[in-house]
Amino acid sequence: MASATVATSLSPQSSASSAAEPLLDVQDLSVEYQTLRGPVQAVSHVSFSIGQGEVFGLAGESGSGKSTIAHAIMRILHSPAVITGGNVLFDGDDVLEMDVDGLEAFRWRDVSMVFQSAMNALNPVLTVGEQIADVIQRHQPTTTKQQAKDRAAELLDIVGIDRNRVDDYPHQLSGGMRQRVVIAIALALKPQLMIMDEPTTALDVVVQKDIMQQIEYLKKELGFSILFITHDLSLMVEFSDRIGVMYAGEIVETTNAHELFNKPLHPYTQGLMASFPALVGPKETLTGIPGSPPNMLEPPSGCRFHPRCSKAFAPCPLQQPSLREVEPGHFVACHLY
Amino acid sequence: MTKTVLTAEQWKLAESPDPVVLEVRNLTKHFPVGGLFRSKHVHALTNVSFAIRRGEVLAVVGESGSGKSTTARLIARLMEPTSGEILFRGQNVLQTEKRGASLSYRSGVQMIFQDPFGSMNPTHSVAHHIMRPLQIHHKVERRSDLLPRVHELLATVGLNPPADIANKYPHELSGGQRQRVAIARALAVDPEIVLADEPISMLDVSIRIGVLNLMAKLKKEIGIGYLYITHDIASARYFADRIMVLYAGQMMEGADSDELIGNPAHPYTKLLLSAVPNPEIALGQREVVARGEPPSLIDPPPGCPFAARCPQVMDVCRKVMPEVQTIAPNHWVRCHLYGEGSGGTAA
Ligand SMILES: Nc1ncnc2c1ncn2[C@@H]1O[C@H](COP(=O)(O)OP(=O)(O)OP(=O)(O)O)[C@@H](O)[C@H]1O
Ligand SMILES: Nc1ncnc2c1ncn2[C@@H]1O[C@H](COP(=O)(O)OP(=O)(O)OP(=O)(O)O)[C@@H](O)[C@H]1O
Ligand code: SF4
Ligand code: SF4
Ligand SMILES: [Mg+2]
Ligand SMILES: [Mg+2]
Repeated sequence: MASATVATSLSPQSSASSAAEPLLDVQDLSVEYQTLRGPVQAVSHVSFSIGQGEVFGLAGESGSGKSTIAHAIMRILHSPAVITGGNVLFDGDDVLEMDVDGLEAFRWRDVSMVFQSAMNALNPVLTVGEQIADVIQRHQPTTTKQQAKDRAAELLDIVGIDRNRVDDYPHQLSGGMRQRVVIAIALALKPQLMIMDEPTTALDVVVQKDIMQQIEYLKKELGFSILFITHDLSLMVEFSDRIGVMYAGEIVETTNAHELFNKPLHPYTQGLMASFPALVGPKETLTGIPGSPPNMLEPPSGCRFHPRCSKAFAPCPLQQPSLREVEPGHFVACHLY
Repeated sequence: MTKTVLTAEQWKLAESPDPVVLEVRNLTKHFPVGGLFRSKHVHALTNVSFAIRRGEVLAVVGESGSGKSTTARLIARLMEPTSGEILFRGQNVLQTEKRGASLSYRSGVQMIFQDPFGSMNPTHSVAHHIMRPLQIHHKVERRSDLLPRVHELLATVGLNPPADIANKYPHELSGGQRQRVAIARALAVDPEIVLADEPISMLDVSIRIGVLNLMAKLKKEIGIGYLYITHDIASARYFADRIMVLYAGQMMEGADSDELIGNPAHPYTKLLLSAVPNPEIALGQREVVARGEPPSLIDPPPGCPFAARCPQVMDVCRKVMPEVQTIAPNHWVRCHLYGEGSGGTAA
């Protein structure tokens, strides 16, 4: 059975959040956007960790706070965003305490990021080679121009683009190739952690699969960890070791990918799973989730999911459920458990 | 130039007694591009033919740039085809309505767009958006019938309470609610065919199914036929009776949904299906069927447009465009691996 092979591909050490020394440890992180219409609690008391070589997925629909978390980890949040609490430990150091010099080294060298629709953010007047070389020279000033250019060509090779295209401008490449260039830039300084925010969302499935397989291969070769963000649960389950499901700024469930797919416990996760038509197997009528995502200016009381939850009962609108370990390694925030 | 006419007779649901409402034959759109003399052409769509019966859903799938939206825009008569025929209830509308679509065609064939934001005017209430088509197409007898009909339509698409929703403005609605308003607006004129171009791809994942279920309900209860355009083949299986695969503006394969997904014949269809994320199979363990990117559509060379990426390419593929072949009931394919003298075997 195919699912059995998935289970063995997960290393038990990495699937326990209590692994000896996680590479990234996000503790009780809260972020607020202080808008003119009032504060938006975009991220509320979020905790998770990522082990060495592990892929951790953040799932959840639009506006649930996924990108905000990624930006907080990279310390690239701008006003009106304010980190109102928590710690982000990278290899034991608190990223939120780092000074400018510390951050300069941290970004790209320790952690790099592939942004949502980054392929449209390449500089149109520089060749792709110049853009890759630029990142290398900025962070490794002793590198000569020629060395940086050679390395750029090598990186193109690594992400599956003919190295002869190093002198091409972005407009000469297809969307899929531009996204590969962005990944090459993210790999340039051999980071230990790569944050990928919807890296393939704008691409066709065939190109997406090609790129995701390439990333999986590179991860095995180079041994970096990944924080993987997407709204596509199928892709996330396929690619991640462990997954955290977000709703309205909170993590409501976290466990290993296999378990989440086969035995989702939180009613929101169950609803998400019932929102994707399958390509194989019996054709069932899907229900999706009634209602629509909450207005984050006035999030619902108690469990934020209660207005849409078919299993809501007395305590749900009154009391906020906390994330509890209901089965080994499987955490759920819901009054049912 | 290859001439392939695939009539409704060649591709119909055998036992269906329902009449064909919309049929296109050899629909072709070439956009002139480049330089002062516009001497080059983007072959966006070439010789595409199909028919849609009453209450039937035909899905069009294919990658970005394969011609899906062009197909819908031509049928909606937002632009004129380079050649080909569009038959609505048996009438060739391009011939009878040379100076643009008539009122009756515009009410018979409605379009829903991908972007529920872009298709609404921010300064007008929901009620206004639905009243306008009711008035233009004289769908109510008296002015006093207008608002009740608006409320009825809003209730039909599951927007409750309708009187509240009717007074709202687009920015006060969620994406899913806006798309429902767009559907209510299309329904206002009693269409027989709805052209739905990626109607759910911009919506939140948890509300996509609700919109698809609504469209399925209207198909069943009112008998609306759909051209459902999507790049998500799993949603096509969920909603559509039949699926047609486009590649580089050419129709490559078509069959009943389950047959197409269970028994794909065309190498491109196989590639497309193998690339769909599947949580049951780990990424690293899946076989790579083919790689590469879609071809340029500017004055393409002769032969099969998939030849550059096809793992089964043969000499003939680069010289001759394959014809459409029927390989099983209601299942056709355009590929040299199939048909007489090809030596290939149908899967
Ligand atoms: N600059 C901003 N000012 C005010 N609110 C913001 C700002 N940026 C984001 N938000 C709000 O913060 C919340 C979280 O947004 P975020 O971009 O993190 O979501 P996301 O999960 O990445 O969504 P998507 O899947 O659409 O990318 C949303 O409610 C959003 O409206
Ligand atoms: N007005 C135009 N002028 C020139 N080329 C055009 C024009 N409109 C579309 N095209 C080209 O025709 C081809 C088909 O485009 P179309 O929009 O139909 O693709 P699609 O299948 O809908 O793609 P997507 O999935 O990205 O929406 C593309 O190569 C496109 O660039
Ligand atoms: S706490 Fe209550 S409302 Fe929230 S998910 Fe659980 S059952 Fe539903
Ligand atoms: S005609 Fe030839 S190149 Fe085209 S899909 Fe068939 S085998 Fe492949
Ligand atoms: Mg985001
Ligand atoms: Mg399109």
